[in-house]
Amino acid sequence: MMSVSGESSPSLDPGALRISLEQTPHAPALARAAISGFSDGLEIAPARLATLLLLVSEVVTNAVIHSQATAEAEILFAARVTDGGALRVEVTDAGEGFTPRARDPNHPGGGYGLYLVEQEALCWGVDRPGGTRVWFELATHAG
Amino acid sequence: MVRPTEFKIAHRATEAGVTVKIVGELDLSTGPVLAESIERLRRDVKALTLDLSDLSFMDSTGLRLLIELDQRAKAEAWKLVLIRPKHETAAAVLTATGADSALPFEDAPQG
Repeated sequence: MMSVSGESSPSLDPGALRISLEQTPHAPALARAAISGFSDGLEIAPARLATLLLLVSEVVTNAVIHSQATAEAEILFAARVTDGGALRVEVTDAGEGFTPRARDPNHPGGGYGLYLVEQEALCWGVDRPGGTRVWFELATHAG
Repeated sequence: MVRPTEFKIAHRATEAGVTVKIVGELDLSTGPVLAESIERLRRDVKALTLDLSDLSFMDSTGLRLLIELDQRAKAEAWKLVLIRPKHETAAAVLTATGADSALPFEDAPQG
């Protein structure tokens, strides 16, 4: 059994996706391309794939916009299939973080990102191992 | 490694005003491009049609733009028409938020 040192317990599962993205407006598109490639090998219903691309785009967009980290800091984007067969996505930014809310009524049209995650994901959450990590799990089959 | 997001904007004047057709992915990187184009094209016209039928992806950055346009159209008394996206990956954000019925959407014309 190999032991892994490091603060963020990187997944070494070859079936997992793990990339870092520069914190630029292109990050959401790059994350969508990556998750799209990753999910090619999985049997995902088309409607689920549309939801997956949307949620990935929302969470990565939030990481780009809300993080107070310097521009050089990267966003860590990871995905894997859970034992339960759901797709789990984690987006970690290195910033001080913000306190994500599902929706802020003071900013009309804003804050839809986590509203969508809350509505569509099986479960989701936020934790902060040295940054802000937002994760969600999505069923891969329609229903 | 940078994959430029596919995005094209085409516009044509019509009797009623201007039609803007957007193709590609509408997100954080391309939203500002569209907002700027619309700002320029919308001047002095009484109607704007935004054709999203061939849009391949949209997230809430795009949705926010549509909501702001709708609010401005109402406040400034001009007509906004949105043509529904055909692709599920562009329509998902609209159905999930209810924006498909709250905003002035029309189906793409046949043919």
